Parts: sequence; C-alpha cells; structure tokens
Amino acid sequence: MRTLVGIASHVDHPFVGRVERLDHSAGRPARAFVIAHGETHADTELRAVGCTPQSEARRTIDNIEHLELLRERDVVEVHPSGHVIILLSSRSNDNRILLTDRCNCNCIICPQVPPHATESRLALNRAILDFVAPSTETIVITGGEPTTVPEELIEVLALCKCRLPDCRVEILTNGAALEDNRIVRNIAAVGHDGLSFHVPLYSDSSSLHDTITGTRSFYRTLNGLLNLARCDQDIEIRTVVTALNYERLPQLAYFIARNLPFTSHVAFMGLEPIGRAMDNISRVWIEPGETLESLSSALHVLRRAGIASSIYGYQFCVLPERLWQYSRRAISDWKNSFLPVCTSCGLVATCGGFFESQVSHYSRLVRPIRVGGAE
Amino acid sequence: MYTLLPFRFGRLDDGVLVVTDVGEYHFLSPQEFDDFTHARLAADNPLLQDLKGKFIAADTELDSAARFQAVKYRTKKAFLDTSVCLHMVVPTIRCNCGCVYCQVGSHPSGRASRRTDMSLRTAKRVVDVIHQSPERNLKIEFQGGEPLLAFETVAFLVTYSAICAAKTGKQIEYVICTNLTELPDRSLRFLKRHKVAISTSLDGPRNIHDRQRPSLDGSSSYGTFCANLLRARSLIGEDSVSALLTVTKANSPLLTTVIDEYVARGFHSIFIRPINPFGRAVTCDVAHYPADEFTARYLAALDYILEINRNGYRLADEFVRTLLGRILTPFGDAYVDLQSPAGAGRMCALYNYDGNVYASDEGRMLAEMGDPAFLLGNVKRDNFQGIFGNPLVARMATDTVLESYPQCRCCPYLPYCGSDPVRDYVEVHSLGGKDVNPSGCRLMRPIFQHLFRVLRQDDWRTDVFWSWVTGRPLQDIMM
Repeated sequence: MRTLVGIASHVDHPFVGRVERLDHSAGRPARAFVIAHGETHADTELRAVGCTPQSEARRTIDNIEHLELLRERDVVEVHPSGHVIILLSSRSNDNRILLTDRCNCNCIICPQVPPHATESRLALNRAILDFVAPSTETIVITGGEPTTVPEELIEVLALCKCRLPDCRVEILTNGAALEDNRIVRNIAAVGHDGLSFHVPLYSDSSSLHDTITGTRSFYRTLNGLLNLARCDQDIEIRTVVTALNYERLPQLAYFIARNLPFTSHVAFMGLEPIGRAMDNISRVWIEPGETLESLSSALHVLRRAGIASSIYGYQFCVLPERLWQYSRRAISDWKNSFLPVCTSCGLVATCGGFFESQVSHYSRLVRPIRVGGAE
Repeated sequence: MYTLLPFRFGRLDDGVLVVTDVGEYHFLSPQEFDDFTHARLAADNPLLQDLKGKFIAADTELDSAARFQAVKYRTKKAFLDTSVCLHMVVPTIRCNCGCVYCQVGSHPSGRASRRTDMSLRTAKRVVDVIHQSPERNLKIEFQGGEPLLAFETVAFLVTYSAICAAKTGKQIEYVICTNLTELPDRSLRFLKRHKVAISTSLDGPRNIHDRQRPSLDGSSSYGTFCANLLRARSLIGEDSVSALLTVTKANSPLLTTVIDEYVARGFHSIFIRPINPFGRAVTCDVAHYPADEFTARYLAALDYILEINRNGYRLADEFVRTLLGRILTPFGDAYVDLQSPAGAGRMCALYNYDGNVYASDEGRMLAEMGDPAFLLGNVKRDNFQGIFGNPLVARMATDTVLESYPQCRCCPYLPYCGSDPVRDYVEVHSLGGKDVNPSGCRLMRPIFQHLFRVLRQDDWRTDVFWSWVTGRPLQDIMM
C-alpha cells in the first residue's frame, strides 16, 4: 500500500477523501480539505473532498514528498500524523480496504507494518466503499490481519456484496484465526460469489514457517485452510521466497498438493525489501538467481498435480525462459517499476518488473534482453 | 528430539521405503533409516524436515500433527462411508460368443427362458432394491452373458431406474459390458440417449481375438467387433468405449502386439487383467499360468505402454492408474476389487437373472459352479436391508481388514492394497483365516515394487503417471 508523508495541520482524526484538482476561480468549497504544496510541485494543488460532516477547509497536509504520485480520483486516507495512504488508485485496479491495523502474526518479512494504531476502522471503511466505482473489478481486503476483527470483516463483505455485486473481493489473511470454524461459516454465510482467500504458507516445515511468521501459527493456518475448504471457499497460497525457505520450495509444493489439494492457485513472490523485511534484510535476502532451481522444481510438482501457479517479482532476465510462462505482473502499478538498465530491454512491456522497493536489492542477473535482433 | 509417527517400511533394492497410513512415502538409505529410527537426526537435518513434512515424524506440536493426520486418514478412507454404490445386473446369462476362458458359465444364445433371462417383474424388483440404497450416486453395470441379447430387459432397467431416480433425486451412471457383436441401431441409439457407457473386451489382433473369443455362429467376432466399435464411436463419441484385455497363456507372450492393436483401434485406455479361476477358466489350458508369470509379463507391458506415451500417444493403464491415485494423491477411490476391508457386499453387489443377489461378480461365478457361499438374498423376497444386512456382509468386512492380517500388517504396500474375499475363498480355502497370505499378494507385491522403483527415479515416467492420474495430456505435465 503506497503511503505519502507530509506535515498535517488541523487534522484531529483520520478521515477518507477523494482527490480532486483545486479550481481557484471557483473558490474553496466548504467541505474541501487541502493536500497541497509539495516542495517540488508548488503549482500542484490537490484537494481531497472529505466525507466527514465536520470537514473544515483549514485542514491541510503540506510539504508532501512525491506529491506527483497522487492523482485525481485517487481515494486517500489522511492521518493526523501527516500520512496519506492511497487506498483506491485511479491509475490501476489496485483497490485496498485496510480492515484493521491489528495483526496476530509478527512476520519478519512484513512489508507493511501499519504506521497508525487506530480504534475500529469500520466507519472509515464504510466511507471508502462509498467511493468505489461500480465498475471496479477487484477489491483487496487487507490489514493488519482482517480476521482479527471478524464482525467488521463480515460487515464489509456484506456491503461489498450489496453495493458492488460484480466486484471480486480478495482477502489477504494469514488464516490463523480461521481455525475457529464459526468465523469461516459466518463469512461463507454472507454468500459473496467472488470471494477468494490469499494465505501465506512459507514452508512445509512447521518450525520454518513459524520462524518466518514470528508466531506459532503453522497448524492454526493449516486448520484455517481446512475450514475454508470445508466451506468451499476459493484459496490461493502465497509464498514469499526468502533465504530461509527457498531450499524447501519443492517440498512445500508437494505439501500443498498432498495436504491442501483444494488450493486453486499458488503464487511464489520475490521478496519486497521494505518494512520489517528491510530490518531483517541480511537474514532474509537471497540472490534470486540462487532460488531458480528450487523454484523450478516446485513449479513442476504443482504442474504435475494440476495446481495452477505463478511467479511475481522476478524479472524475465532473471528467470530461465521456460519459466517465463509463469511470470505475472502485479496488479499494483507501483509494483511494476523498472531500473535505468531496463530502458533498452525489449521485454519491458510484459515483464513482471520490480516492486518499487526492489530497486535497493535486486538480482545480479538483471540485464536488458534484446528481442528479434542479433546480439 | 523428535517422535516417530506411525509408518510401515520395507527394503526396496538398496533403499528402505517408508509409507504412512495415508500413503505418503519416502525413500531412505539403510544408514539414514537407522539414524532416523534411533533419533540421531539433528533438528535442522533436511531429511528430518522431509519426514516431518510427510508426517512420518514430528518434533513439536505432536497433538496438532496427529489431528491433522487424522483429517487426512478420514479423507483417504472416505470409501468406508460409501454404501453399496456399484450395482451389477445380469439381464441374461445367454451369450453369442464362446470365449475359451468364460468365467460366468454363460449359455449358448437361443430363446430366452426362465432359466437364462431376468423377467420384467424381477427386473422391477432389482431396481426397487437398488433405489433403497442410501447412496446418492449409484452405478448400474449390465453384465452377462451378453446383456444386449436381452435388450428389452436392459431398456426396461434403464428407463424404470431413471424414473425412480427422478423421484428420489439419486444420480445414476450406467455401464454396459458387451462384446459389441450384437448392436442394432436401435440399441445403439438407446445407449446414446441414456448416456450408457460401453465397456468391451479386446484380446488382441484378429487371430488372437477370434481364437480366444469365437462367435458361436462361426463368423469372426473380431470383424463384427471392429465394425461396431466404429459405429459406436461415430454415433456416441470417440471416448465412449473402453476395453478390457484378458491375459491368457496364449496372448501373454504377445502383449506388445496386443497393445499395438489397442493403439491401432484408437483406444486411449487399457485394462489388463489376469484370468480368475471360475467357470470354463478352471478347465481351459490357456487359463492356467502362475501369478508371477502374469505379473512379469504385465510389468513388461507397462514399460511398453509408458514408451508409447513418451512417443506422443496417450494410452493409460487403468489398473495402474487406480493404484497411482492411491500412491500419489490424498484420496481413495471406489474401485471395489481392491479395498481393505474388501468392497464385496459392502460397496458392490451383483443381481443375477433369477433375482439372486451376490456379494460380487466372482460370488455369482462361484455360485454357477455350485457353491452359493456368497449369496446374500433374492430380490423377490428380500429388501435392501434384508440383503445387505446379511451377517455375511459384516463378516466379510471384518475378515478382510488387511491391517489385521499378520502377513500384511507390516507390509509397506498395505495402504494401497486390498483383498478379494471370494478369490481368497477359492484359492486358499479361507475367509478371514489370516493364516496365509491373501491370494492377491503374489500378484500385487511385484506390481507395487515396480511402481515404486519407477517413482524413485522421478523421471519422465512419473510425468506419464501424473498424466494418467489427473487425466491430462503429457505435455501439460512435463516441464
């Protein structure tokens, strides 16, 4: 989730708004809230039309770094701390509902340690859903850990079903709280047709998985997955490839095929060196080239068993050509960045690219690929 | 420290094969096995991690591991929840072929009579009893004789059971086992309309097939077979007919030629079976060969079939496909002839033309030879509960639990294996005697050893295996 930082004034509590360009000639509307005056973009004045009734024009966030990343029609959440979180991006189909800041795991590679400790976010999330365009294809419900506030999760799902019946909803969850089958049954009872659960499983080894999640969660997550399967929910397993777990990817793939055969998709993801992953970078970073043999075997295990799989956050130049068919671009536009060296590459248009944070750590195999011409 | 979870093991060549109750397996060297079982593996040893991932060992959270394994065991043994789902019906015992190894004691075709054919009244009772089964998904399989000689009875059984199914909400699959020599357009259209799958027999090219499966009228059964196979496929669909290969002393040295015939006839699956010691097979010379001879020939044939797949033609060995499903996937299956406890009378039953109900097809074959040991009842006087509540059904179940056989309980292949009480009764004169190996062991053990030798190599042949198990083209499996 992309977060910008500036200096807030007169912001007493978090609220949600849609970004619009300020029209000076029309005067400042009473409900406008100004996010303005990025240091390098003095001429760009954007406002967020707030939805809280007591909005006041005096509230501003100044000196925002990278204000150019904010676009008209983005939906943002503004915090007293000066953080401006882009929840719904007008440029891509990256739409996120941050259900809660709370989490019941403590992953050493967590890319988004929530900066704000708020009370219930339900009111904010209701407001955000009001801004979602009916044509939106996908909404991602994330956190924190959405299942730590099951009642709010169920209310948000019911709102989604009612207001955005054709929009798919992806829940990013560690699955641990879903070991309580009542929660799963209540979620299933909402009857949302386009729901899917995206659950990280880092290893077939309980100790390795638990080392990465920082909690004893392996069996809780497995039981959560079984409960989801019992309620016929769509399940994707997500595995971030780190120095700790890369050697056992084939065993993990076997474990999924054998124990979680109801899994509809497995995603292997390159490490995002951001947040807590950056704090632990020396422990978790592995040269992506070193992981390819293991990754390839894992994909073969899943292919045999007929479970679809994909690779995110690896570039074409890093992957052997036979694995290109598995490479996908992330849905977040800011997860498809490129390096200066990529400008001369012929495959840049379809490459999975880099997570923006990967520009600090990337494979030494990265190089431009020439297409069609003799080299 | 770690704990060993329950497993069976056995030597295979220079390694030790370890298998859990749910069929997960791992190969260890003898030294590794020794270190593992003497708790000498360090916590970070990758081998210990492998064994943990397969629930062969656990270090922490033993309770959680055990509970998870219990879910897997219930999944694997889900067939135990199945009531009688395969209902075999014999509308007539008449046949127009005189197969040298005929196991069912069929009568030469002629006019239907009470001594050869099922009356419509009995047929109605058969369907009524079938519909009393608590199972929602049922399969009705027509056997013979040649069931299409009694087409009117087959048609009645299908249409009446379809009417009952519409009322009870049951789903019924139909299969007809036919030699494909008596197939007028009217019958063919009926089979198509009611989605009746066709299961037939092909024993080889013309000379072999005609010698083993001669027509009673002296014409070539092979010629008629081929012509009707084409008609069935063009009317119903390319995959509408599957075939069974019966191995005799005569065709067993020529199995590659026979398999080539399957490819030439466009079959994509083959079920290769040995002869059971029933009916005419007891006295016929070509039916007598030792089980290990069959197995050796069969395994050579399997290698040949694998090569055919490698060369781009999809041909699945159906028996091996079933075994591999047990070895490679978390699921069990409804294959009734190899279950522990056995499927006879519990998952399947055979309704003979006279209304007698037997625990299995072999049970009726034995009865035709004069020993009605596996007779469960008769539809004319008994209902479902009376027939399947027969104490024999319960006794067969308790007596065929391989886990309770001294010779089987430690066998690494037990989780994939099963027994056939009728065959044991005939061959080793024992039902649940448990003092001798079940008769299937001589057949099955070398097959399992062969499959695990192949799996241990983990090469293209494992890809072919997966293509059979998942029913997908080989190029979708290979990488």
